[in-house]
Amino acid sequence: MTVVAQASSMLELGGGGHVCWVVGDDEGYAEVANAFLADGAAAGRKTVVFGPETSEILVPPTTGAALVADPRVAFLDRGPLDPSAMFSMFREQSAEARAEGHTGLCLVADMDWLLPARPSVEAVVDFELHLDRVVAELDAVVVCAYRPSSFDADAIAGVLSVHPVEHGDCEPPPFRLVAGEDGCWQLSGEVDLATESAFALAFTAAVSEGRCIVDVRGLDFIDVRGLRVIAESSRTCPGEVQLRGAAPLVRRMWDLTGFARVAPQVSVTA
Amino acid sequence: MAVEVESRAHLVHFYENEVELNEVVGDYLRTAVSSGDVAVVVATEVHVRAFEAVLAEAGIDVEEARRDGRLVVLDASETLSRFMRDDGPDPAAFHEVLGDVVRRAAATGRRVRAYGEMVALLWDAGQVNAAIAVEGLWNALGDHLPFSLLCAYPTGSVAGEGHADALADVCRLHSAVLGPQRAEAARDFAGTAAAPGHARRFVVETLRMWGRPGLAEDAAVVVTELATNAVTHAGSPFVVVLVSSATGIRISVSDGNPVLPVLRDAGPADLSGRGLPLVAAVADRWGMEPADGGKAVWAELRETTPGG
Repeated sequence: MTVVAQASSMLELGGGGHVCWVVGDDEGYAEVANAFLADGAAAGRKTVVFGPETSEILVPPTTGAALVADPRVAFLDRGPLDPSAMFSMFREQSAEARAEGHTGLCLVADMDWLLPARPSVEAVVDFELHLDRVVAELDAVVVCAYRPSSFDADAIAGVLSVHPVEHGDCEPPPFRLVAGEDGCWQLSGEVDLATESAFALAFTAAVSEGRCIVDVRGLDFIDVRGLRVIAESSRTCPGEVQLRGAAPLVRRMWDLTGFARVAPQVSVTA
Repeated sequence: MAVEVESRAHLVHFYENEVELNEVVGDYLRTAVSSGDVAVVVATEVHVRAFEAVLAEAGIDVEEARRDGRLVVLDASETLSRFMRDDGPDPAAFHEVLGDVVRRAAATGRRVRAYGEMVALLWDAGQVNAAIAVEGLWNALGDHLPFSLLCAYPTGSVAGEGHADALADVCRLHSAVLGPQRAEAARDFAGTAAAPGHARRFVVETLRMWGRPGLAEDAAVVVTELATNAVTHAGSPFVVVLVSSATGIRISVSDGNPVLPVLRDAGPADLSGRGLPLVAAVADRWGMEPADGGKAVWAELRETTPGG
């Protein structure tokens, strides 16, 4: 695929403007990212580049008014990864961009910027899951570029599962947990042994903040271990956990496995 | 095996080999001709010869049947060429060509029983979308003209994870899948985390082809849990054997570890160990036995409604 076609395909993919780009070694990262930003600018968005000083994409940006930010300076100097501080800044930037007459933000983030903080894989997945909600809320377009040379297979599988769209050197994730409507999460696809660790990472992040409503209409299959992740992580949830739109099979399994009795804070409804 | 068919049925059969095809289709055509219906066959030359041999063996005078118009034979490829265009089947041409054949057969006042394999030829040529379109066109024709239709696909062509959606579409476009009364399928799987998913898809696709879609959901649950146990507890590759009979199906998963699992009562605080109890709850009967140096855990699912 040509560079421009790759960039356009990233922008056009799906409804969510939040793309997980798994960057292969020889991908011409700067070219694709710059082409993507050019498309964003053409659509009236304010383009933002996020990455460590040494990130290729900073040399040179071909788009006009690109805001270039080194998040290590902005955030990590003060210590470990602080997602809520980042999201506040993101909201401010988005409001500013609109005030300037743009249609929103268009951002490419070279996720290597996370590395100096040495975040756990749990923290990275938690960050991306909550970022998805913010991206949807702000109607922004964000591409998160992850390099397999910097992030291990578990981390990549985890972040892929919490993005609505993926691109690059990867397979579509077997399941997705992403922001849904009205503050819900949306769980779709199949959860089984192959996705066990990624699902645990994603679901734990989803229940971390209290009342957790998950639309599971798109959940085609979940095994006992997946249900166990739900039961277990819900024990630490400050509020209730609801699985809405559960297929009859899911409701049956929740009862037959006995999880309905041992995890009463989870309601599984049609 | 006598094939009972309602007058406007659109059935599909997935066959393992030519012997099975000849048996099923031969029987369908023999029943039609012996009952005084008109049999319309759209097939390859090789298959036509095989079917006619079945008819002859049943004492039917094939030449006479052809002359009387009780056996109408068309070549599948040649018929395809009369309505297929570069971008797919031309609906008007399809209705003209096949509609004409069926109309003339129906004008005799007899019931019309058609057999077609054009769809299988299209599928084998990689034109899966065209095959599905032609199935739709047969259905549209069935809205105007009274006839029953049997289509056949080789299982080797339609199986496989890449075809799962198309296979589901094909089944949906038929009033029923004409499955075998008795069948068995087996497959080996590596002891990997992805294997339970592959095993699940193998079982669901096989049950679809056997015309047992009603059991697919429970079977998916059972095989996933048994396969997951094989990978996580036995730590070995495993074999899934699926057997279908008149009353239901039996799934068994064999692995290399002879240690038999223990079904324990999971206490309220205990979140683990709920896979086997789920299998026990879903299955009508289940059990385990030593097998070949390892063990096999099996579960039976009974058909709750006729035909699944």
